Amino acid sequence: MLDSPRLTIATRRAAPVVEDARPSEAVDDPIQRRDLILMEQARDGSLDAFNSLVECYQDHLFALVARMVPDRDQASDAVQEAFFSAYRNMRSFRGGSVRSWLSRIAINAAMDQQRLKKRRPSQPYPELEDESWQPPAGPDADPERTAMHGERARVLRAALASITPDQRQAIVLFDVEGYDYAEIAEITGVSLGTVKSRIHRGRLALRDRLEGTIGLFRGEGD
Amino acid sequence: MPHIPDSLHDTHDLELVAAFAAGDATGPALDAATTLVASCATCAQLHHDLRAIAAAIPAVPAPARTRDFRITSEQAARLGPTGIRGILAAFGSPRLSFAAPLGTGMPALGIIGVLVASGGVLPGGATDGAGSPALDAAAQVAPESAGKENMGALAAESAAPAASADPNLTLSAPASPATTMSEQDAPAATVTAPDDGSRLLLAAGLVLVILGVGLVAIRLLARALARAP
Repeated sequence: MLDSPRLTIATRRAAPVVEDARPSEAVDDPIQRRDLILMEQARDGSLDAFNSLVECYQDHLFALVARMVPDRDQASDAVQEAFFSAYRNMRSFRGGSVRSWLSRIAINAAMDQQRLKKRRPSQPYPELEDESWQPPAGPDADPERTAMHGERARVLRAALASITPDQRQAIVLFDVEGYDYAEIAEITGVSLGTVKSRIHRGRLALRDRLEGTIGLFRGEGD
Repeated sequence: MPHIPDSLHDTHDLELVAAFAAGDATGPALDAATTLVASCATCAQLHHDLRAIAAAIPAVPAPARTRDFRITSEQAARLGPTGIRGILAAFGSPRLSFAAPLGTGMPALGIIGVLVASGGVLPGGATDGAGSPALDAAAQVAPESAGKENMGALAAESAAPAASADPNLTLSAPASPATTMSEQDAPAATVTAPDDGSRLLLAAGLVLVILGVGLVAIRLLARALARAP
């Protein structure tokens, strides 16, 4: 059904008007509909369909994993492993959001990478000073403001990289990815209280690390 | 709210302030945190800073991807399940979800088939006293007709009514009173083989049970493998 011509056409339209009596609001989302069609084709053996999903989500997954695993080589390895794992386990996909499914695989891969790093510590965060991490400035951006934002992002990234992996992971999932406490508890396999504690302590640790540059952030919270 | 001297800040519960800043403090903790933030300037500043940091984290730009993660056909070939795992993966796929009801339905049909086939076989296996009508009839008729004849004759006599009472019995011994049989031959005379239809039904039932149980087992194994990391 998912690869029917009617659904394929529907994904190409800006506003899909498909008479579908199913109550699922997820399938009404054209992006999710496209993902499900690609997933179905990939499960039928189409590598191109799977690679289309990779193209759609590799930026998002890399950004997610790179925030959790500050070493970019290790983050790349984790993302590659996540896509390998997704390809191997396509048949275990039971519907729902492909993006969420891939994100969870990537988070698990990042956690595995961090566990591996604990066993085999490498040079800590060699990429932190890499200027390619800076956001591109718009043509009409205020240089002073842009510089301040860049500096704030740089020190915050460095601070994030210096707190414990568990705290960093909880903060990234909560503050960046928007998961709620219960979802984070389920993903990371710890209790709700532990998740809250990691986030609270992580933010306190960030504030300690940012002691000398906290002025960059004042006036932004309220 | 009375002002608490900053010298006492070191004794304050900073995690309480962090929970308050995150909106997670409730009940007495909320009251305590509110008091701290309202009365201690350092706690108030901490509360403000924590909120500012939490607000700034999502704005940290995403790092640029350094690699293309698309999978090559060689990698795909290496990653795909092969051999027995590949076959099991096919059984575990949603497209073969009909295998589950099929796998449970087949043994049910098979058991019915076996029971029906057994209904045709048991009268022939009358020696086990399973309580079939034919067996009962034979047991009642035999003592009257056999009189004082030897055991072999008794067996021969009893076989005849049994055969006549049950049309399914096809291979009964000759019912002649003159026939004398040894004690060893007597049971053989009462055992009658099922007809071809019953045998076929029995075999088909057993095959269905085995296939169905096997199908369910393979699917469960495939699902377990699919869920495995």
